[in-house]
Amino acid sequence: MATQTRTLPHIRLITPVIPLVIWFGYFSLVYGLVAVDCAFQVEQEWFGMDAIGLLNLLATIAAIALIGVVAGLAFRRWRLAREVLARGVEEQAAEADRLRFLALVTLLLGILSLVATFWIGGAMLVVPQCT
Amino acid sequence: MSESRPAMERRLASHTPLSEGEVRLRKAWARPAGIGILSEVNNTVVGRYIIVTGFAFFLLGGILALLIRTQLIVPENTLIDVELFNQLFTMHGTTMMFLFAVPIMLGFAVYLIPQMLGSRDLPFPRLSAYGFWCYLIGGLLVFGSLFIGAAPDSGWFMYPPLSSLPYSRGINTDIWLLGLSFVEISSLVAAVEMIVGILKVRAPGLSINRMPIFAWAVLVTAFMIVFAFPPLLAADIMLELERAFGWVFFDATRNGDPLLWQHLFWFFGHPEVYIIFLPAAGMVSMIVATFARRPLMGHTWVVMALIAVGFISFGLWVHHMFATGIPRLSLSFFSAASMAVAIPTGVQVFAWLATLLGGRPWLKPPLLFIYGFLFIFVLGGLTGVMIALVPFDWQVHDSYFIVAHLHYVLIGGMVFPLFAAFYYWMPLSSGRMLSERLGRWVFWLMFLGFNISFLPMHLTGLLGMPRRVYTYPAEMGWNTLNLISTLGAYLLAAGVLVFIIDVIRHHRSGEPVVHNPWNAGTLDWLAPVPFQPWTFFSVPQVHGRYPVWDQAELPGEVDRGEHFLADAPAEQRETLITDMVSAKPLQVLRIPGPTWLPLIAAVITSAFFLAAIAHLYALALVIAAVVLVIFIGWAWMNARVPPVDQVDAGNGVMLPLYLGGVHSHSWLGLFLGLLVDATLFGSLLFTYFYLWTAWPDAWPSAPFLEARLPMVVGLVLLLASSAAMAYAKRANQRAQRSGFWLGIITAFVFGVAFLIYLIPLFARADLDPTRHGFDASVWAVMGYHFFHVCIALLLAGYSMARVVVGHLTPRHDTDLRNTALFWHYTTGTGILALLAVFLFPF
Repeated sequence: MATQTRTLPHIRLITPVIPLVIWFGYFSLVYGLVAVDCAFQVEQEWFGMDAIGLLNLLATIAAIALIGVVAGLAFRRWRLAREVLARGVEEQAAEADRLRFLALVTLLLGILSLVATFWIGGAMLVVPQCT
Repeated sequence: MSESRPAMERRLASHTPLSEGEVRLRKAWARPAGIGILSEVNNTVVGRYIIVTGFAFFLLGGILALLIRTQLIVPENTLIDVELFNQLFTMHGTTMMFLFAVPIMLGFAVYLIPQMLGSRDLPFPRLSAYGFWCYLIGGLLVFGSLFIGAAPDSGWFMYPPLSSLPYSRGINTDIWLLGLSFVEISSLVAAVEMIVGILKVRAPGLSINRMPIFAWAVLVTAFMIVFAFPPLLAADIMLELERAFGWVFFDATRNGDPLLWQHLFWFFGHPEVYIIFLPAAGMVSMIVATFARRPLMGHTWVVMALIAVGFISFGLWVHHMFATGIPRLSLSFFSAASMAVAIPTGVQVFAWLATLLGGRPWLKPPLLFIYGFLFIFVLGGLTGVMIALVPFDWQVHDSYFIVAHLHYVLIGGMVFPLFAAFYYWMPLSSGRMLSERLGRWVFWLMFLGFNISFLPMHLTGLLGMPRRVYTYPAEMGWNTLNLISTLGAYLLAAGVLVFIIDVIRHHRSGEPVVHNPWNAGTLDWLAPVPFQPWTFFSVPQVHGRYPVWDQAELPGEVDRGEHFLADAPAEQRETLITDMVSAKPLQVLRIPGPTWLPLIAAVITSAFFLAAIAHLYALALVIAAVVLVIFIGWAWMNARVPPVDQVDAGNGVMLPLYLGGVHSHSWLGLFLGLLVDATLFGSLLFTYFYLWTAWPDAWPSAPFLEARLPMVVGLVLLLASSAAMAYAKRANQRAQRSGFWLGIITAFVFGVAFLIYLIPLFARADLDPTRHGFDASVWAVMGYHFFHVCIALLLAGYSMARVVVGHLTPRHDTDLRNTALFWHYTTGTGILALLAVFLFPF
């Protein structure tokens, strides 16, 4: 077995919840925008589209993109940790094990956050705004 | 696997005579005798106090449930009148949710977490004790109101306008609002204690990826409490301000909105369900692994599921408000989130099933209760998915279908795991086993009783019976179903009664055990039972998720003192602080021993709430000042400069006695406290913006707020004071004494100037909080901020005093760092408050 060591990237304790924080921020934003739209009957149009609807669409795209980036980075770190563990580098085993754990939790939470975001974004496509 | 029992007994026998180290250890951890035991703050004592108190409230809440079911056994029953019935169902829900379910789970956490993490105690033991006394006194106050006919009677969620003064004239609602606010203190301090404890006092080697699932569940739950309880606290304060002083928040006739209460209440109330469920799910994961006799399958997935449930549960609150006229698109967001939360919950269920399928299940009473939990909870979860669908929810809203659903989720999801936990962990406390035969009786009586009682309620609800009615006409077709439900409730109660008999019996004639009767793999079963106050003779070095299974020699090594802290040379209580991720040892933390301070502080705090309930506000203010003085004295005793820099932690490892700044456990504790505070402040800001959307055409402004100068001056003073405080902190670190004094005095002067300038301006402005929701919410936001500036000034004075007496030095500067953290936080919230009330709406 090769015993070559490689510097492992640092992953913070807070990292796994970043996708969920993005989801919650997105959720609060679209809920707030719909509440304001329905309270004030906003009739503003941007680029031929209802302004609030457009903001909600942009928020959905931004949330999906951000969560996707975090999940993608987590996937890369998870794969790296697996490689290090597979190489059997004794002095890095504990660190790689921690990295694999935190990266996998981040990745799984990223996937779940994406599902939840798609679900809410999908509702916007089929349910009228203020009825 | 674990050491055999005869080997363990031989090892324990070989422990006499005691070594000098053990003598010192025993002295440091000795429990006070007689009545003095009430001054003990060790987690093994306080945890048991909380569990016993919680179970007592469970019995009291259960008696109320039996009274309710007895009244409903036949139509047009006259046993209980409507007024008493209203008090009974309000107090049943209140007792079960606030006085039983949350506290008893936290009690288990206080009792088990240090042992499960290989620690000697929690980092703030006096705070745990204070929380317990607040809980006990507040609980007795709230429940005791039943006996004077003044119990809350507006339902456990206390909706205005029913709970507003015109419709609730007595002190019933005040007791709920103020009494439960007092009880909530205990949950909040326990949450802070748990987070710091779980992150900071794990055994060396128990890194984040090896942490037991119960600890993960408690960690997530504690964070949920930090974010969920403050909105309820804010709502309580606002409703009490409306009732006592006429401030407008929920009164629609004066531009308040009763729906605001529902938003704030359910922002707490829905996560509350998971605050109850997640620790129970953590218990299930521990018990399933032990009785499947193999590690939990999908450990990482279960951790993911716990975190996900904790987060997503904050996006579900409106699914309790589907029938309130909220726009359909908004409802669909919450419907989607309600479906999404089923995914991580399902992940946990599949992990438990897979573990049982992949293991060799050992069908003892704890596992029997877990099977009961799986059956009932999954059914409750499925009806939960049904009512997450908006059209179905509209059909069964406020009917007995909802009563059935919530009891399937709560009793299935929390009470059955709780009884599994009693049967599983009881030997840790008593050193004896509960009876297997009686355990099976308890299970079957409870399981059958529960299903006989609550399964028919789905039908009763579908047939149209509304919740909370004290009786019903005979011709409605609900008679037989109600009769069956009542009989089932008595059967369920019989199961609980047999359990009580078993507990009493086992203290005398239960089979004695010395060590790990279930062959469990986690650290809670490492030490001999019943627990000693110090738990482990030496703090273990851990190398896996199931140390007792993975490290065969560990029990012997720990008991021979071959690991950390196998001595107490200063005869003080000590535990290890370790790194939050890697669990590498960082510090030897000296923790306080027995003291009456928590009990005294809780009694005086209760006097504050009693005075407020009695509308003696001047007296309440005086008592609040006394409480403040006590807390300052409490803090003063902490964080002294240690006599030596480093001590031998065992195995030749030298560790410091003091860690400053962000590495300090007290800094983390304060940070979490500020998260609580920020959530409360956020709730007040939410109130301001929410009332604006509720009254878009009637949202006034004040001429004073249209002039921007006060805002600009206020912002400049706040920012300048923060800069001065940051300078004082840096100067102290560089041992520049004059720079420290210049910075802190400048910050103090700017803070005082802020108050002197702005408070009179607001007082003279044409703002009358009894007139309009706008005026009240402006005063709430700004009043909250002014209060914080006063506290920041007090903390600055405290830091100055610490420097004068030599307790705060350039290297031992935690007090100053904490003061600076609070100061900057106050500046941040002040900026938000000023921008909101002066600039919004634009």
